Amino acid sequence: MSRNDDFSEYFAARANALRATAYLLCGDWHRAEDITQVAMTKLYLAWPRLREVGLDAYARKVVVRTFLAENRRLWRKREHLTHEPPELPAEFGDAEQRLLVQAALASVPPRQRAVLVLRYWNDLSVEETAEALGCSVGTVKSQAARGVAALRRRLGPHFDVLEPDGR
Amino acid sequence: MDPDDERVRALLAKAGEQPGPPLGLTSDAIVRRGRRIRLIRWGSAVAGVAVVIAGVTVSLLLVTAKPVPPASPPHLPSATPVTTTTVDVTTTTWTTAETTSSP
Repeated sequence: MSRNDDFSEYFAARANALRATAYLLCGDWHRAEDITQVAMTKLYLAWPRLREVGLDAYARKVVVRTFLAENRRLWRKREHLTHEPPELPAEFGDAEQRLLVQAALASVPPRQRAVLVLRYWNDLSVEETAEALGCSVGTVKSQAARGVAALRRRLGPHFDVLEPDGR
Repeated sequence: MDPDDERVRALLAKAGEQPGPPLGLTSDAIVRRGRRIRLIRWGSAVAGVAVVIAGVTVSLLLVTAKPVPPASPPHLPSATPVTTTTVDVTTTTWTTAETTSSP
């Protein structure tokens, strides 16, 4: 099988998952697609030497680092939330919960958000997260704790009320 | 396991569960883009090597070539003060001879 066929197969299997990771990081589908495109292009260029390293790990690393690099470049344009989340309504549906969580996640500093996404969305270990971010295990632990605290602070009482299945 | 960990895991699952718009990327587009980048990189590498080789060659030529000695000045014909002296002497001689023989 040629390099292009291999890559196309991998793309079909993993592009959506990578875009979902990018979306959780940046909260914007268009930007998530741009990040995915950059990651996939880098993956294609590095394809021959990635067979042993691990494609998923490399792709995740590129997505997170592209996000962080873009964030540094675009820090002036970053949106800042100015209002607290609304009070919990009587009928609290899935869509509202999702929006609330996304808004809260967007308020977490980018590096802490990256740690949260890698640890709790991609289910990576602390060591794997540290490797993906190029930092120490201790840094991952502290950033994760701060990220969870920021999320809890942002969601307020909703942090404990929200249910995973939307109830 | 920390209950907070489980809660954050559930929150992120909720935020990321929506499917989103259809993916606008295709593997063919990525492959084309990747090939173009590889071509540009290859071209840049070749151009860089060519420039380095040219630079090294010119440097070697400049270092190994012997310096050309400055050209010697052209040989000028010698000055003629001797001739002038001779003419004066001769003239004097003739004058003397005429003076002697005329009377």
